[in-house]
Amino acid sequence: MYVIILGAGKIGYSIAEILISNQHEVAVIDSNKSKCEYIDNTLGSISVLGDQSLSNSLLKAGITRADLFIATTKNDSENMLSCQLAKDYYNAKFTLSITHSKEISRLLETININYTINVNQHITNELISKIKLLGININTKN
Amino acid sequence: MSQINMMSKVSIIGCGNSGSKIAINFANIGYQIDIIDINYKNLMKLPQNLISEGYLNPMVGNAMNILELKNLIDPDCNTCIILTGNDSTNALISQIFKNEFNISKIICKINDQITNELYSNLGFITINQNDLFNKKLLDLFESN
Repeated sequence: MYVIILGAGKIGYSIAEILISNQHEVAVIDSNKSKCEYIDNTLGSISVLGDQSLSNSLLKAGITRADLFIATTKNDSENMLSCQLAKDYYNAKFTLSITHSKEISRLLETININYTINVNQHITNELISKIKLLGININTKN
Repeated sequence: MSQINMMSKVSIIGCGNSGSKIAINFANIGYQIDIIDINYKNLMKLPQNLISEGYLNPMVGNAMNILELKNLIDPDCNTCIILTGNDSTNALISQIFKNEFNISKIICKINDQITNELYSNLGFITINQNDLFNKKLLDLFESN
């Protein structure tokens, strides 16, 4: 499968590493030059230096033949727009996006993005389960 | 100054160079404008007389936060103009207005050609600064 990942942060890097070790073809887009160099030195020449235009960066990465697009930046709006471009304009088969708020997650799921993962919610849930493992009772109804 | 136009309640998101200018122009011809910016300093440049006369209503807030936006947007607002300096911010805010609010006209500034095409296909009214500039230049050349 050809997978394009937007964002070479910790999440983008780890998922790229795993996909590569599973013999998938991967490209990682980031606008930070040193992050791209780090990726090229450690995972192979798979980085694409993004420019100001999202659509340009996606094209440079070969979005027209992508099976899966994953948006992992810190910026919810960039994640949303890149997924929309990937799916609705360049016809990528699947799109995934991380988000940082419950409401934006809900919004993104109504606009053709296959799955959204709310990072903050996941960390909170994980923390709660660990707190419970420590034997501390907490009520999580809300 | 003409009377306040009660029929059109316009919200403008982003009080940068274009947002503030458009807000002032609209207010001067009698529209009631709510203008929202995340940074209060950007709202300070709006003329005090238009604010005290009720034509301009500046508000500080983050339009990418859906809950915050719901508290800021007037339920009677029927036109929303999104003019922040960033394409993806404008795209997300437009999408929030489309999905979460009952607003008939959503106008957004999208400078990237492809994104602009995508968003006009998705039913938004889009404005592309480069296109406007090109048109103006062509007009200038043709008029000579």
